[in-house]
Amino acid sequence: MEKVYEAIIDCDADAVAQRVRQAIDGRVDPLTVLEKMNVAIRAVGDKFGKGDVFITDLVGSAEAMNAGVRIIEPLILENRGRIATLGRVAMATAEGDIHDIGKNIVITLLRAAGFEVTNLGVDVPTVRIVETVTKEKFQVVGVSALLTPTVAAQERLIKRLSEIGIRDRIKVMVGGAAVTREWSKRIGSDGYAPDGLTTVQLVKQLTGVAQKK
Amino acid sequence: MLQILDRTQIERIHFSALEVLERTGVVIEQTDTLKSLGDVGVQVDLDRKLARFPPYVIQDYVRKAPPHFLQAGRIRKFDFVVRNGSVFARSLSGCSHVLDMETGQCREATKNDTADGARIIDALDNIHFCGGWIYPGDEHPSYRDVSLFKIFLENSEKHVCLQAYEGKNLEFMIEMAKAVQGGENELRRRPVLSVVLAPSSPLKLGKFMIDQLDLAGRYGVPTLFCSTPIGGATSPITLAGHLVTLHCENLAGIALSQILHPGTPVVYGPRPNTMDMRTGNAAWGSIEFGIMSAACVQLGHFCGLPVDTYSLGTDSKSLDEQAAVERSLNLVLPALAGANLLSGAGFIETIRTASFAQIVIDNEILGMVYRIMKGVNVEDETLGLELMDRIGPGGSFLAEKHTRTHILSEHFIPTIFDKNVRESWEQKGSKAATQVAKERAEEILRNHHPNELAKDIQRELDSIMTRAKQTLYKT
Repeated sequence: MEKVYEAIIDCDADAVAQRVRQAIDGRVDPLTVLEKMNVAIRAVGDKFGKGDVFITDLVGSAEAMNAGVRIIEPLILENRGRIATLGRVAMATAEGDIHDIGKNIVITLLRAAGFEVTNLGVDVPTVRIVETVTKEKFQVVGVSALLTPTVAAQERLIKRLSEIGIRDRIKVMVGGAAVTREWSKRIGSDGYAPDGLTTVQLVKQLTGVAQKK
Repeated sequence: MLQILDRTQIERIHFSALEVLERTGVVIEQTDTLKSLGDVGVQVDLDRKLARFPPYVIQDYVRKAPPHFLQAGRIRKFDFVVRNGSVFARSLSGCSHVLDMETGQCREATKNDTADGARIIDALDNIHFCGGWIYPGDEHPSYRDVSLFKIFLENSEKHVCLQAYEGKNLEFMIEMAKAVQGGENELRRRPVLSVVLAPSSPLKLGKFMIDQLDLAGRYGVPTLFCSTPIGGATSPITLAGHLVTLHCENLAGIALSQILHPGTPVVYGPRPNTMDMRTGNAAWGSIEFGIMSAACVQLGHFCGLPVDTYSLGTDSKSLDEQAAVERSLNLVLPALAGANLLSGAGFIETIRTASFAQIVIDNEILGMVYRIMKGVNVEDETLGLELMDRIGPGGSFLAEKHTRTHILSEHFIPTIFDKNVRESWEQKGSKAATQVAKERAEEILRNHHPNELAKDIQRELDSIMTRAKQTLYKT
């Protein structure tokens, strides 16, 4: 398992995939493999937070880890309830907007911090975000917008969640270059964060993780 | 002239870009436009929305872009011709926040700030036209850009270059521009508006961009193509690869504009921002921005295109040493390379926050740069050999007519930066340049009022704005 850990630190996706397969073939519990990978990514995340590695190292490690997750995910889906995460977050780029670099960095940082994140993609219709968070249990949904007119989709989402009576079941955070803190307050969101690291802090606050420490 | 790239490097990057445009292609998110490209020899994959441009298409169509064109003010005094060898400056387009003049705190901008900003630009001699400097945050995002354009037309007589959000928004702006200039033909002759179009890097021209490109072309509105890949994130981190991405996107956009509307005035506008790898944030004040801007001047000129660079950039959150150094270096590099349009005056904090004091300082820095670009005039009169012989060893030139005649053409006279001795400076209040600049901005706001629009034009703008709000407002 140390070799899986090292391969993630080295951003070597091929090595991660090979070593995860070896571990599974050697009858290591898939959950143990996943936990080891989480330890590795959290270590890289901590180093990034301290300024010891670059974002490119963190994203590279995350993608290397994904190579392993893709192999073991089918084996552990039935055990999802046993996987400990800090919380579930859904992330989307606003309807009409196709930008996602910033959002993807946020997703990497959240996963590195221990959250389970579902990436809904780009140009996500508001109605689809509503359907997703209605059907599945997320603590937080984040919507990002780089193009100014698409920030209106963030407003629509919050209104729609209120209209169908589930607004109090989920925290809504907004971000992206076109979004301001003032806009986030005006539309009644639960929070705004201007970059990746502050987003992680915000999600910890919104999920209560910050207090539990 | 500064040459960051030698001839071999320019050609290597240029031909590499042609190769990428042919091999990798560009996504164009507009089916009708893709079909039009197919008609002129571009290889089109409608399912993937991918356009692969053979080099001859790029070369043939980029050549159709005009080498010179007029950008007009509301009044002729502020008209200027963009051409080889010319240099003009504008403010940034796109701040959402301002440094409050009274409190110094950063806050979201309002319509009043937009109006004040337009009046300040109007008064500054070294800033020749307006960028859509300050977006009014108290207007709904659906039509905030249209509101900004109206406010600028009301508060400045200079040309306005800004980014519209969507084609529908640009339609209302063009209506306003027609109203101000006196009709469609007059707008085409003297465009008071130019638009900024930005691809989604890497290598994607989005629907928002294409709709506006087509609309601008129909009315002959000058179009600035701003490729904005983030080095290390949406382009290679290597400067050469970053330059290839910039060149590809600008050439694809410009070729497309000429395919749809040959002869549309266009500007090649690189925005080579980099990802700060310690934070994951985009940086617009990195020194690589300046280096690549200078290189892009060479690349754009290689293709016969005028070049607009985002000079005066900084990531500093205040008017401090970082702001001064980053903006000055990133201005001087492309200026010395021969940039035709120097954009970006008036911001700090990575294109987010406007500062009225900063734009006054930028006006000063631009004056210094124009002086650099003038160089040294060497001729009999300026050599002054007869004068030197007459004055002789140990003499003084102070009282000479030669000195009085040439002072303004030879020396830049600063209005903000102080040249007094310390005692005099202390007697005048020991003011730092930022304080002097702030006071100058306040003075402009007290005293400078551009000519108002004629009442019938004002009514028409108000009417267009009402319709824009009704049409564009989305909840």
